[in-house]
This record gives sequence, C-alpha cells and structure tokens, in this order.
Amino acid sequence: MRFSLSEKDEKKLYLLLSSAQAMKQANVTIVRDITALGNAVIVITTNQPYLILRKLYGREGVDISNVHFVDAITKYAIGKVPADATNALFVNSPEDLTDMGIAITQTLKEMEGQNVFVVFDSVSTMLIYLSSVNISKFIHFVSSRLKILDVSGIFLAVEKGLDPLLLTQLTTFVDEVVDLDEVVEG
Amino acid sequence: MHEIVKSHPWIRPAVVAGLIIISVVLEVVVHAYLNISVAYTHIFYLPIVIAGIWYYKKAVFIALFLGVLHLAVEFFMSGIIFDPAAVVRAAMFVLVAYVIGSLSESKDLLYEDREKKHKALIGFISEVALRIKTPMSVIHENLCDISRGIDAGEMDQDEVQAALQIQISHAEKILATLRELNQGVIDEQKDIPDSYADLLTR
Repeated sequence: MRFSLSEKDEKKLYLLLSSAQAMKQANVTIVRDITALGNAVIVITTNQPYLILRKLYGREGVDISNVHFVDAITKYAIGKVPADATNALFVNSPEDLTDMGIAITQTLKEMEGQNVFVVFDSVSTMLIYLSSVNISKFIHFVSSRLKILDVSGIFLAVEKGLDPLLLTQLTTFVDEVVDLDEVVEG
Repeated sequence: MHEIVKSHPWIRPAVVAGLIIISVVLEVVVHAYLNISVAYTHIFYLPIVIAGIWYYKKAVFIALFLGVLHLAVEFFMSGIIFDPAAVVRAAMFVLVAYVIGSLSESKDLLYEDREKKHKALIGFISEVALRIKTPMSVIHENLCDISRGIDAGEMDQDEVQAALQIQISHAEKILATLRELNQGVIDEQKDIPDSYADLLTR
C-alpha cells in the first residue's frame, strides 16, 4: 500500500477503496501510519470488534494509547464488552446511528486539542445493517461534522462493493477518493 | 429517428408548423384559387395526425383551425355558410385529432408506467444484490482471516470465538435483510411486476 498521510498536513476527508482481501491490512497500515506521526486516531468499527482490533494493532506495532475506538459491533454480536476496555465506547448496534453519532461526537470532544484522524471501517460492512440510503445520510452527517470540527477522516470501503449511486454520493462528501489497488498497481 | 427528435427539441414544432403552413397554402391555392374543394384536404391529416402523436389532444386545436379555415374558404367560394360536405370534412379533422391524441396519450402513459415499474424493479434488484453481495464478500474475507489467524497461531480462543460470533451476527442480519426485502416486495407489489414479486417471495 502506497497511500501515505505523511505529506498531507491539511485536514481532508478521504474515501479509500480497497479490495475485500486488503481491507484489514489497509486499516492496520493507515492506523499505524497516523499514530507513527504522533497523531491520534478514532477507529469507528462495524466489522472487527475492539478485542480483535486492539490485539491486531498491538501485534503490528501500533501505539495503542493513541487509538480510541467507537465499537458498534461488540455489544450487538457478542453481547458483552471486554472488562478491560480502555479508550473505547461501545454502541448497542450498527443500526443505531443516533448512538453512533453521539459516541463519535463524545470521543471527538474528549480528544479536543489533539491532531485527530477518524477512520471509519467500513462503509461496506454497514451495508449488512443499513440500507444504502441510510448509509449515505449517516456518512453525510459524519463528514459534515468532521468538516465543521476541522478533523481529518478516512472512510474505508470495498472497491466494487458499492453501487454507483452510493459511490457518487460518497464521492461528493469527501475531498479525495483513493483507490488503493490502483495505487499499488501504479 | 426518435433519438434525433429527442436530441433536437425544435424539430417537432418545426415539422407541425411546416405542415400547417403547407395545408394553409393548399387551402388558399387549391380551394380558393383553383376552386377544388376535395382530395387536397387529405393532406390536412398529416399535421393533425403528427400533432396527435406528439402533442396528444392539443392536436384538436390544429384540427379546429384547419376545419374553420376550410369552412371559411368554402363560404367565401360558394356563399353557403355550412356546406354539409365541408362540415363533414371539418368534423372529421377534429374527430381524427381527438382519437389519435387520446390513443397516443394512453399508449405513452402505458409506456411510462412500464418504464417506471422496470426502473423500480432494477432499483430493487440492485439494492438486494448490494446488500447481499457485499456483505457476503465481507463475511467470506473475515472467515478467511480467521482461518489464516488460526493457522498462523495469531488468534487465541477468545479472539476466534469473538470473530466467529461477529460472522454469525452478520449472517443473521443478512437473512433478516432478505426477509425484510421480500416483505418489501409484498408491500410494494404495485411497483414490482407480479411474476417477479412471486419469484422473490417464494
């Protein structure tokens, strides 16, 4: 993966398209790159639970103290949250967009003053729980909020996993669309 | 032809206006000047029928105009206010305009309705495909990851159990989505052709 945030100091919103196979690695690489530069990350996850992501980041050498989680899947799928969870907010369900919005706002408030990146993993997984119309509305809400707060955001999505209308809408919400597979090939 | 007319919106009014002008010229030259009151009026059906196809019942106004013109010239030539033959011809103009306009309008409405249903069906199928295909590929990749993690000894039992529970949850949700979408078909049968609705709810 060649997508790098090191030269991008302006606050921007990115839509990162990747193959399903490379999605997990894309998440790890981006979080590692961001934290390596001394920035903080808020990972909004609807696919990998906090327990797995924390261990995965640990194994990949990510400074976990700079990573905050908004986990929308653990409570819903596993039913209980890890007792030793730190820097994590657990949302009842990925369908509960109001709670997710509150959790994101709350986490952003807690991290005020830091250089924060929000990583959204992933738009494609949200399709399991929400219609494309609702996803579009929610991403619009989140991206507007990030723009207002001057926070960088990265939305991950499976390439070719989105319908053209949804993709067009998402493209209008972000500043840049990066196709990770094309970057690698290029 | 249809595409050319669609991409050049001025063609339709120009054609109708041109045919009306030709009809008026024929009325003046053939009827008023040459004193022939039959045969040439068949040409009048061209603007009437074409306007009926394109502008539906508005073609009646063209028919009325040509009919009144024909009657006026007939009166000017013969001195008879309502010559029966001329009245029948004028009435036929209006009748043909109304029938062609009505048929054309209902044909186009039927076509639009069919197109609307077709678009609704395509939209429905796209959403179903999107909300099944993408999640299935996500689950597939997650299961491959779990398998790789177990093989590499990177995942402990808690992680494997958590990861599998997530996949079960995803799969349950996909099934619920399928049921929800099928229910949507039943509720929205107006927009989905019956045969497709039956197939999707079976």
